[in-house]
Amino acid sequence: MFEFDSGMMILSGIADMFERLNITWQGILLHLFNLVILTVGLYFLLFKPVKKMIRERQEKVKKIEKENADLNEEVKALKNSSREALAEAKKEAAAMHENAVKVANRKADEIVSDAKARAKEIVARTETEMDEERAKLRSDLEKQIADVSLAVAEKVVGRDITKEDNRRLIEESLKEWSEKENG
Amino acid sequence: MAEEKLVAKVVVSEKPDDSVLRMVAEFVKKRGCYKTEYTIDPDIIGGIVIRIGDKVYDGSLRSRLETIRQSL
Repeated sequence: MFEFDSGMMILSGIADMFERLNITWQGILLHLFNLVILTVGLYFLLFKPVKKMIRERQEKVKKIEKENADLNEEVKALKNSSREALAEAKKEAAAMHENAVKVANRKADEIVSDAKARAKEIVARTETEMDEERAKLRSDLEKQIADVSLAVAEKVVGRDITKEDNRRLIEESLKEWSEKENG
Repeated sequence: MAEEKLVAKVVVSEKPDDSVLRMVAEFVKKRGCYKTEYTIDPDIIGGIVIRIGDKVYDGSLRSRLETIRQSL
């Protein structure tokens, strides 16, 4: 009973306060109606476009993310490809270097062997020339010795020959010629 | 020309004595020469050179030394 009374008193208080504030049930209903209209209007005018925009933005972001992922894949593939290309290039460079070293070594061997052959040829030619020169010198020397010896002999004979020697020499020559002609 | 052949040209290194003159005269006479021309040439050193026509008898020391030089 008491509770009923207090509830009634609260309701009566609220009704009294509404009356003082000039709030009626019609006004409340009108405001509720306005709120519904505002809510529906906002829903169609604001919420839907914003939601649409957000969805579009999300799609755009997804698209960008997908593009990024694609790009990342592409970059990854490019990286792999470039790594492979680099490895291939390194391999090729190593092969080229090895080939170049082989060619250079072969060329060096050829040059060395050519130089050796030339040196051998020069030594052989020089030895031949030296032998010829030595033989010529020996021959010249012998000739000079003979010339000098005979020059000395001429001087000595010319100085020492006596009249008697000369007479005997003439006699021997005449005798020799006669004997030769007579057989 | 025939007369020239009869002349013997003799070269000696010094003036010959009589014995040499005789020997030479006898030698050239046997080869048809009755005239002898003497020339003294010390360059032959010693011995004698006789030219009768184209024939030359060279018994000079110079020619002997030259022979030795050639053989050396």
